[in-house]
Amino acid sequence: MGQGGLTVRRDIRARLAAVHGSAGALFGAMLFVVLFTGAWSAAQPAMAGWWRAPRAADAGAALPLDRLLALAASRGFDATQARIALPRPGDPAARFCAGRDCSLALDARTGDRIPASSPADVLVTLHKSLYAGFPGRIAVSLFGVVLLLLLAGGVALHGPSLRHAFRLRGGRGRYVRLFDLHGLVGLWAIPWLALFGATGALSGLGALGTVALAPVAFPAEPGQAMVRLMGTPAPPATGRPWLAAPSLDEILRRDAARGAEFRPQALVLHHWGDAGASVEVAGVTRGLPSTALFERHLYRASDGAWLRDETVRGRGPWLRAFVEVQPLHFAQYEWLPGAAAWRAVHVLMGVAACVLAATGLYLWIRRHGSQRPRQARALARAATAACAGLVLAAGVLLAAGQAWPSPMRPAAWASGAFWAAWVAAVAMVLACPRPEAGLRILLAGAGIAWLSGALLHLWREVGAGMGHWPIDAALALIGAALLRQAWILARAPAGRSSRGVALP
Amino acid sequence: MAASRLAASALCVAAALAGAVEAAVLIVRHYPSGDGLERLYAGIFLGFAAGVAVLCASLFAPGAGQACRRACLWLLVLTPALWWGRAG
Repeated sequence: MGQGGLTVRRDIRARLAAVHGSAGALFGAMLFVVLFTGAWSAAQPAMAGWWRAPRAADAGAALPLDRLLALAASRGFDATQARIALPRPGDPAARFCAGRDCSLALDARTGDRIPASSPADVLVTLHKSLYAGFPGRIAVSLFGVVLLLLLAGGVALHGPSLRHAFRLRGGRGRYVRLFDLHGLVGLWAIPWLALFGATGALSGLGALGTVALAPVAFPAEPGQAMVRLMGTPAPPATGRPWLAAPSLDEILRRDAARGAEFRPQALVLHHWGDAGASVEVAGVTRGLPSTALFERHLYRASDGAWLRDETVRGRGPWLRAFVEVQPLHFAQYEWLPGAAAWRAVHVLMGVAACVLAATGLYLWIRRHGSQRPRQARALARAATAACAGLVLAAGVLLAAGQAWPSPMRPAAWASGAFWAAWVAAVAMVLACPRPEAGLRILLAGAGIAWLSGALLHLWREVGAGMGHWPIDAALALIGAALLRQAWILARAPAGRSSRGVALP
Repeated sequence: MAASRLAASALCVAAALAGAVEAAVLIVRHYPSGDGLERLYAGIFLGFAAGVAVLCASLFAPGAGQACRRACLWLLVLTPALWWGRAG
């Protein structure tokens, strides 16, 4: 290769490094927030039972669904147009939604009212929409594009080389160690990072595209796009009341008898109380990546006769790809054997992506500390406040969620503790003369909070089966890792650039 | 130098976005399927993939001029095709 060729290659490499670094510095802190809340959201379905007050392990089997519906009706639940989310393994809650009101949940084993919302929802909403509705959802989706851009740059820059796959050099300083960790984590997590980026971007942009391009696909009647997507509506009401109330349990039994591959997750009631009422059994089919929104079996309520199935099986590949985005992004692997293991890997890779974002920010700050001390200092502060502050606030949320003794834990109280902790963390980082001092304090506080959440839960579950001990162990492990990191930062002298930007 | 690179990057983002939308509309119109939903989601997925590919290719270009060329070249093809299809 001639001199010209080498120069071009050097130019391209420099450009890749510049784009990868600049995009990481510009969006890294916010990307960390999106990735952290994403990993948290993926873990929540498995943690739903963890947040609830412990109950004796011998609380008994689930009550019949008809009995639960009667109990819900006695609490004022209007079942005319309703959805009942069935209890899941590890979470005994049956959730009742009338229209958009989903404030009622009953313990399926006792019929007692339990909280419908979880303190964890605050981070889930942050991930889904930044509390800004549909525009917020689109904004979060754009971070999927940023992640893809960073991934493409990183892979092009370093290449999927086996040299980086196992390299974690010790004894050569923190920068080299974290550089290796960044490459190692990035390499092993490539498939999941691509998955998070693509499905994250398409979950928001896909919805936007459906609305925006419907007039192009269906020029005569754009509303057909949603109708065709969601399937044929349920039969209309007759206007006459039914003669006898149908049995939901019987309909579930009939549905189970049709095939063991289908796992019901919810029941959708149409025109309940009318002679023309119908029930949809919504769920997932083994081997078919889809959600309960698209997999539904319709039954006539009066005699339990099967009417039709709505499914994406047999539909076009692009529509199926769109339907697959949600289960793949939010770790809804119930359609796969070993769903819990797949979810655990998904969450682990989400945590790995957070490590990747944090180490990337650190590397940029260290590398540019001497040339651009003001920018490096500002980024160090912003990243510490956003990333370490969020980790601390999440730990406070975990501990606060377990510290409240009532079985009806008020989600608002724990959510308030979360926001207060994050705001306090930001204020402390801004007040600290040196960002690394703030980072040490936040990491230590976060470690204590995560450990406290795990230990408080373990203590409360003693004598109640301790069925959630793997979650407690994982939380305690994260807490211990955060405390260790704080201890390492306290022991080791800070790196100092020639212009005086002190960095951990 | 830095300002021109910044302007070129902004142009790359804008051109990739505009091109992705134009590509999506063209695919929804002309994708060979009788099912409107298939054409709709083919447009969304392929438009998105093309937009991300063009964004990466243009941002990673070694010079500002080459970045602009890579970002805008497909607009020269897509924009007339879009208007021609509309007239048709």
